[in-house]
Amino acid sequence: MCNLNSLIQRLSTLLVFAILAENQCFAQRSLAIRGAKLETVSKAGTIEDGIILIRDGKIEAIGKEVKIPLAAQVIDAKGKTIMPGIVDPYYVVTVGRDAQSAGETRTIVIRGQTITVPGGSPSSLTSFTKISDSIDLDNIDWKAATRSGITTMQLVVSGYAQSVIVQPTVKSAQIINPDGKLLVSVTNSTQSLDLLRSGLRAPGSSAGGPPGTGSGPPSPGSGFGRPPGGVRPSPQPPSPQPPSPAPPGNPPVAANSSVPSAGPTPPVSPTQKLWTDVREGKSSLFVNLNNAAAILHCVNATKEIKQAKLVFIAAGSDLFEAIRDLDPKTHVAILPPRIDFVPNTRDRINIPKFLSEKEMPFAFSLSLGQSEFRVQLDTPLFAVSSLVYSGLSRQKAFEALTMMPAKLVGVDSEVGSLEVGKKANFLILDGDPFAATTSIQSVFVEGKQIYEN
Amino acid sequence: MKTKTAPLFGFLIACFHALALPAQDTAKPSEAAKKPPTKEILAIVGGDIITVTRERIRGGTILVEGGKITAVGQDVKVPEGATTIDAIGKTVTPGFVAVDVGRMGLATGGGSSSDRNAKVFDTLDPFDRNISLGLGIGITTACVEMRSGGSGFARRGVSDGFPITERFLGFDPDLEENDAIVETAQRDYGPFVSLCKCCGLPIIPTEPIENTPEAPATQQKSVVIKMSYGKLDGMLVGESAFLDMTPGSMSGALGQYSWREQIAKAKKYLLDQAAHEKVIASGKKEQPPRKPVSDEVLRLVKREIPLRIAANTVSDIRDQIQLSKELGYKLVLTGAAEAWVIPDELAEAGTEVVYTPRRRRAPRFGEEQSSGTWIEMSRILEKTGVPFALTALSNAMSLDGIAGRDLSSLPLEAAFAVRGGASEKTALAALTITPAKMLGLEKRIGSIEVGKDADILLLDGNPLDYRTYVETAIVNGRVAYKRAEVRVLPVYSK
Repeated sequence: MCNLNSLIQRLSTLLVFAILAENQCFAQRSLAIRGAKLETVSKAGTIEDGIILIRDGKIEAIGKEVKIPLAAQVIDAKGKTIMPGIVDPYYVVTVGRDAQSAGETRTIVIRGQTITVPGGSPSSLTSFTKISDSIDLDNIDWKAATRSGITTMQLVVSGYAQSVIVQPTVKSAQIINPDGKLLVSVTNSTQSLDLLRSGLRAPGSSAGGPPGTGSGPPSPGSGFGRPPGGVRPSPQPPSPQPPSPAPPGNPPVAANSSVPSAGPTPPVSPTQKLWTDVREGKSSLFVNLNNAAAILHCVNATKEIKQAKLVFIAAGSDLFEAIRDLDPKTHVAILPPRIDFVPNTRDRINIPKFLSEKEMPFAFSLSLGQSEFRVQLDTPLFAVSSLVYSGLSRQKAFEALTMMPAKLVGVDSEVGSLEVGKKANFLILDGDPFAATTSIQSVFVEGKQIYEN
Repeated sequence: MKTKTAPLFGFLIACFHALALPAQDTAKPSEAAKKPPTKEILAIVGGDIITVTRERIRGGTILVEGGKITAVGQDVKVPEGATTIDAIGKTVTPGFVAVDVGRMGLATGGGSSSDRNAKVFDTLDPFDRNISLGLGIGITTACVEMRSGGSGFARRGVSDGFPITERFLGFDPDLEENDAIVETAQRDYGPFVSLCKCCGLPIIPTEPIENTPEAPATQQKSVVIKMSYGKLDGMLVGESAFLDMTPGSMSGALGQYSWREQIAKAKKYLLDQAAHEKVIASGKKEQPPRKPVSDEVLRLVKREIPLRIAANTVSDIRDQIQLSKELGYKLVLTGAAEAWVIPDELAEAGTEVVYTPRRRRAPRFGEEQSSGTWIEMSRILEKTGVPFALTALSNAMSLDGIAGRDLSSLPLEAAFAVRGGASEKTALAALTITPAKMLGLEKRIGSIEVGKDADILLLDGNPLDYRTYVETAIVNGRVAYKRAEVRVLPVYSK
């Protein structure tokens, strides 16, 4: 009895071990890809005929001399090139609010006449959206992203929002970080610039004063110039109901409805926290600028805050015009990869090359402003290859596609290069990534193939 | 121990002194060496300088530092390290000042009056292509009107801070031709006919005429900007250099009545305000008086800015002169087609004129000798001492407008003023110092003098010749335009 009992005990422990072992074995079943040229976008540089070993969705080993475990699944990729998955730092999506306001109208009253105009009220520009709260990942078409080799993306909306960072899966996408970066769209209008200024102004300092216009309006010597913020008096005798647009001068933080308006000690609203991080240089601010003048206004508005790191999303030609006012130390550009025109001429110019000559850091957003991105394209890197062909260094091009955007979005410890310990997000291409005819064969995210051409 | 540390300490101090002294010595020259790059000096050498306010300087040199002119003359030495611009064989003039330019240099849509807190500075667009077009014909400072959109789409008036957008397409209430329509209508229906501000149709008053005064006249807004292409700093010079009114707002007895009321209110407010300040100064508390009129009207009453209004016929001009004398404000007349008929009245009232020598207006039937335009108006105004500035046929900064990639440019108008008998000096002043005075900026711009803003043009010939091109335009001491590079105008050498 005693023996039998002990035997059963032993057997059961063995069984447990066996199950555990099998589980481990299953988890440890790793994937090795050999024979490919590896563009690591790290210190290792390019590895010819290298081996990349993947386990648990991470890169376990990479290099020329990597021992492939016996149990590993091996893919032979001779003649192929492997590069890190592309990180898109500015992937525009529409969420609830945008979709609503598209069909929205508002009513304004002019001299007693009621007029209906399309579009939401101007105040909607300054209302804050936390994208992770209102996005439905399953209802967005990710095909264009996956077939273009994008394996990490920062989802953004136009306007005032906090981004979310996602990665595609086989059918949909999953959130990596719901608390992304602060996004603002800035045009040259007081309303949008005030949002920036009031956000960057330290709380409690000169709250009532007009937002700093920097070195702006000038010249008391000239004898004229209205005091800023002066209320225009109405010369009109009592008229029927003065037209009322949205109450001007709303502090943008008030737009967040979750914050109770009254209370002995108002809690720090999430937007305030975001702005504080930007002010203290802990987090970068993504500013979408639709013209070159807006870049100048934005630089002017943020001149005082030395620590703030700004990421400018702008067209190449606008960056070209505003380059003199950009500071490579605190500014980073995000632009679509393409050959641009020199403004007001028909001369073509390779702006990324120009930016790298000026030592201005930049990242590409494949999805930004490119209509061809949405249509089926076998060669998503064609635009980048045209830039490399006309003088942009390969290294800069790789960095602008992977490592630089990963840094901007704050995921550079996980993705952006082929290094041990990072996520196994990579692309297998049938040739040199920057050859015009190269197409993507397969896309891997965390060691799983999510797309095959 | 103590005895040992003390000398050691002393030795250390001595060492510090020894270290510090040479360090100080080396610091001084390095600082001096650093100084020149912080203030870049620009030297324009060898040009034929037309200063406008002083004598002409042949083969002169202009030094520019920190955006201002620091030296002008023939024997000015170019300091070491200065950036030199070769102007040998070139004519050098001050930048032109345009007092009436359509919306430009401002972002489209931005600064629209729907946002009351909107600040003009925030809408500035230093990359506007129109800036290059303006510089191409030598305009370095412009008084730009704030209304958005092209002519014919929006009425100039702004009601209570809102643009009035409902209007018949293609109708501009300030068009010269409207006068003719009104005249015809008045001949047919009597003197009380006016034009509808929305559709341009003549309005025939029906009995009884309403006894209430018209709504107070609405004003347009303007902003003075420098054409500092690509640079925001120093671009905005000021807002509302004029109180701009449409002629319709002051025509007729009711219009004039309401205008007088406004001025009276403004005067009363200024008195109330002064009394209020006294009360506050004495330490008591009191509600400040309510401002009944716009800031521009107040500044008009204080004689800080002039009223700018269009008036073409002798009777309209007389009306405006009369009002300005009676109410005591400065007056700038635009259009002023028949000002040559009554130059003495203008001179006596101190009225200034902005006009276009090439604009034609037909004389009235039976008054061929004393109505309509006349080419010799420039000579007559110069002789009687009426200051005049010139403006182009169209104020739109476009192909056919003031920028004149055809023949509508400012210098060409000056050439026609000379053709009409004015001196070249007066004609050039009409593009530079005279408009600068109208804008209240004569201390900053309008001539090449030490201490003024370095707004300088390098021309390849006589400024009043239509074959002349602006080669280089310098705004606030910085090269903002080069014909060979910007290429808004043809590039070739003669």
